[in-house]
Amino acid sequence: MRDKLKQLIDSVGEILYGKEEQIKQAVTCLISGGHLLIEDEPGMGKTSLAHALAQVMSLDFQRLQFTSDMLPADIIGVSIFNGNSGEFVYHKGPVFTQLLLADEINRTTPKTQSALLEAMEEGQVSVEGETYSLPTPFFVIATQNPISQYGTFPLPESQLDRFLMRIQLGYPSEQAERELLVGGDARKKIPSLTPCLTPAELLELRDLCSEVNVSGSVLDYILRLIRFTRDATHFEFGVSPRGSLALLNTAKTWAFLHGRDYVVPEDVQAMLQPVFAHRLRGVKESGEYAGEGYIKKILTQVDVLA
Amino acid sequence: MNDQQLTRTALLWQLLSVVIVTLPHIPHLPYWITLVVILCIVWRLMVYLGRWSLPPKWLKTCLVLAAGVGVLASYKEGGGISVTVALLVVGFGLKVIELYHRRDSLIVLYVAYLVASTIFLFSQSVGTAIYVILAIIIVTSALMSTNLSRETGFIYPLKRSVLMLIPAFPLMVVLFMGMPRLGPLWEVGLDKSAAKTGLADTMIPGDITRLTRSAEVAFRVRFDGEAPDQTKLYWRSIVLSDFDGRGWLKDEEKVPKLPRNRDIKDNRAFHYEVILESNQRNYIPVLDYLSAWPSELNAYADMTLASKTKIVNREQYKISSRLDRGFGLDKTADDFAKELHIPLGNNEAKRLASSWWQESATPQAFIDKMKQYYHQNFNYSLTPPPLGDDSISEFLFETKTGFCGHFASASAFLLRSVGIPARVVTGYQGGEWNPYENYFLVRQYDAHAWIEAWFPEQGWVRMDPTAWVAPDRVEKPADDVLSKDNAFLQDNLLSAWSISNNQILMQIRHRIEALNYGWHRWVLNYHHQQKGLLEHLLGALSPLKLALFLLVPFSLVISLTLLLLNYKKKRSANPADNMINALSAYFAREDMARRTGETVTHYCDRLAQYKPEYAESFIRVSTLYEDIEYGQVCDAHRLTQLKQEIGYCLNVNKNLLVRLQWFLT
Repeated sequence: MRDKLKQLIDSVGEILYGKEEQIKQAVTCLISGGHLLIEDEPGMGKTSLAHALAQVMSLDFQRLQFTSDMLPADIIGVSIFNGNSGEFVYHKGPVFTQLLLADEINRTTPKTQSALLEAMEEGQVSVEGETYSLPTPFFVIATQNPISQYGTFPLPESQLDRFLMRIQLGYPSEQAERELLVGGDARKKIPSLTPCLTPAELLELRDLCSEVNVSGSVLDYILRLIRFTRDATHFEFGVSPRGSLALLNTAKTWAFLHGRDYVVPEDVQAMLQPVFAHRLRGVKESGEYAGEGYIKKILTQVDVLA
Repeated sequence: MNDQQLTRTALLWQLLSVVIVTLPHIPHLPYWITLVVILCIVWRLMVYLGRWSLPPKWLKTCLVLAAGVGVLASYKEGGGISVTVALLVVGFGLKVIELYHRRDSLIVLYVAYLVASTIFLFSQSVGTAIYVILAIIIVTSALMSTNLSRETGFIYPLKRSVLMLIPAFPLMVVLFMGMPRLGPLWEVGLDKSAAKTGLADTMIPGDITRLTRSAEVAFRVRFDGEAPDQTKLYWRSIVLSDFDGRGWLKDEEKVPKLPRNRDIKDNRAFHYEVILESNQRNYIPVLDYLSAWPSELNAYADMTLASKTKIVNREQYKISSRLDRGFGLDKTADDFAKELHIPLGNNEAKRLASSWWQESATPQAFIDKMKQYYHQNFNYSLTPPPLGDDSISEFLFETKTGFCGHFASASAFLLRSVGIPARVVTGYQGGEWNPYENYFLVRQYDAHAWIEAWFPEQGWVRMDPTAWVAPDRVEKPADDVLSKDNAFLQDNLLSAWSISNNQILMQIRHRIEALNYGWHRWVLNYHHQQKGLLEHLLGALSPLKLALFLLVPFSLVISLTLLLLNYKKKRSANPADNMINALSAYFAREDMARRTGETVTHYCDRLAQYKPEYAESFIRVSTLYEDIEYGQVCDAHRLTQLKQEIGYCLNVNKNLLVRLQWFLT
């Protein structure tokens, strides 16, 4: 199983040069069963990453470009009157897929955003009294432009909390960019990637990861981290219990990904930035989410040993 | 920082500390100051509740001016230190209404410390000391709450300040014990001379009734070694030799001083220490015969001891007396013109004396007759009827009721009438034995008067005519005898109640008295004990020893506190963690301590790079630790292995200190 995972990460790595860390984080997020938020400038490879992941995991893939005039019906589908049968027939929206890429989610209005986020949380869609289940597994990879850009509707904290992780891709290194330029447009290679995992195997993987051992001292460490975010005066509010659960689960998957069947503090530390960064807001900045500096502060102020 | 607004908790603490330090001053301040302080506190409280707003500037200015004028007006006649305290309290109270920023609260709190210490100017009892300590804790909590940047629970600052003050306590004790006492640079005059009861220089029967009613403490006595029998405790204070027909006066001529006795280590003498309350006079109650006394006191030939100045503070004297030795042996009958002088009047009494004298062969027989006469018809009472000009005759033949003064006066007169030199001695008799601290407590109601008669071979002989009439008065403590008398302590309901015969109450009272005695002896009058105690503890004193005595406990307390803080931080229940901490502590001196939040693996990698010769060991440490802590394979074997590996890395066997530290983990 671990070999398959390794292969999977390598395959995606062929599309996204020099971003192995972010790919691992994204894979961890999906195996842990959470939704992923990728935040970066346009053209950094967010879509490529999502697309490649869908391909190697052999998941149904839908892409949805969010715009400011989009309505909830554009996501979850709509009932249309059928003249022949004389009934309203429900036409499923693009949300009915295994992996949904919600591109530039903060370009659309809060009303539309919340329609998607509800689907993410419940795993089902309700239209006119009828409830339709979404396929399993169901993942959303949402991308968003940095908040500071013009014409965006920032996601409120309550909705950010529903994303298991938020990652940033960042500019590629010079070496990676050279390879990119030499190798040509990697996107064309995506459809030719060989799928490494079946959806069933993915679910099995999820079970394996949840069996990873967590010792008392690691749990204590996690608790100390959580308490720090709640007690320290740097943050406006602490991390929610959903956040602490997210940290634990992703740390387990991360440990599994690195070939261990127990969690070490390094796993927790590695997951702290992607899991906590969007759940915390520093006191001094308004609107901005806690940057790397705040996460570093947590790491250097909370001791690993009791 | 200082411009920051006070938090709500902090404000409550400020108000509480203002209240607590002002409360004890209320009785001796003009009442309007109390009102001003209450007004200010209420005002600030209403601001706190959001009902009122802070007063405008003009009003504050007016209040300050008015308060200043008020203090001046209240103390027109001058009041020494009280004026200063009044000014301090009123200014401090007014500051409360502009308590808003942190800097305001700092001013209020610093003044609060000062006001708290001025409480001692007015009272130095155990209760006051405890109260002031509590007040200091509260003011410190207020200071703590001021410096906490965020809102906390109300109790939190109290907890913190108590924790902070605990290590200060032993330091306080050491400073108190070891600090050299300087004489006061100035005397603080609290003008408390008004109406202190004590023995008077004259005795006109009727005087001592007033005294017996007071349960105030006159003095305390501690004997080194065995104490004499209660019936022998005649604390002489004043000798009255002049009789003017109604009252007895102190000899106007100067009584010769007693030569200083060099033989202090007289083992037949009783050695004792008198802790004398202020009596606004200069006599010191002693037992006769005086054999040794402090050099700053004058002893006189009539066996009285006096200080050169009035005793206005509590004083403590070491005195030795020999009860078995007579005095006045070197005199002849011719020396006693004064002690034989009888003014005109009281003729009936004189006749009675001469008739007895004719019937008796010896002076002793005469005295026996006198005794018999008293026995037949006389009553002991604290409320005798008033006596006219011929007081002695009236007493002997008509009223036949009186207390020690009457009996002493009449007996001395009768003795003089037949040519036996006699005089009246006033002082205190007996005292209350406190079994817990082994001392006698003598109260003002133990005041007594007795007589002394001179006989050629025996010198001055003490006689107590009161004892012939009411032997209880001498054998039992005064309160046992006198409590049956209504006049006794009628001014003071509470003490009359407390002096009942109830066993438990008695015990409690003794305990409280013992505590007070210890307090006076070891705290308030510690400067008398200091040298002796320190010499007892340290041997011969030298500046070096004294400095060490002060410094060693200081450094001990401080290092203990630091250690404790460190220990609390470092020590954990986990043995593996403790080993890693020891490793980190060792490398801390090479600036390679584990950083907070650094994982053990990362730290070991860092150490491996720093000391490549031990790299393999460090890697093994990291693996072992990971197995033990995270891999859930924690067994004794691995722990021992970890200990060995770390021990190897630390070079344990080379350095004794490291070995010791390592052994402790």
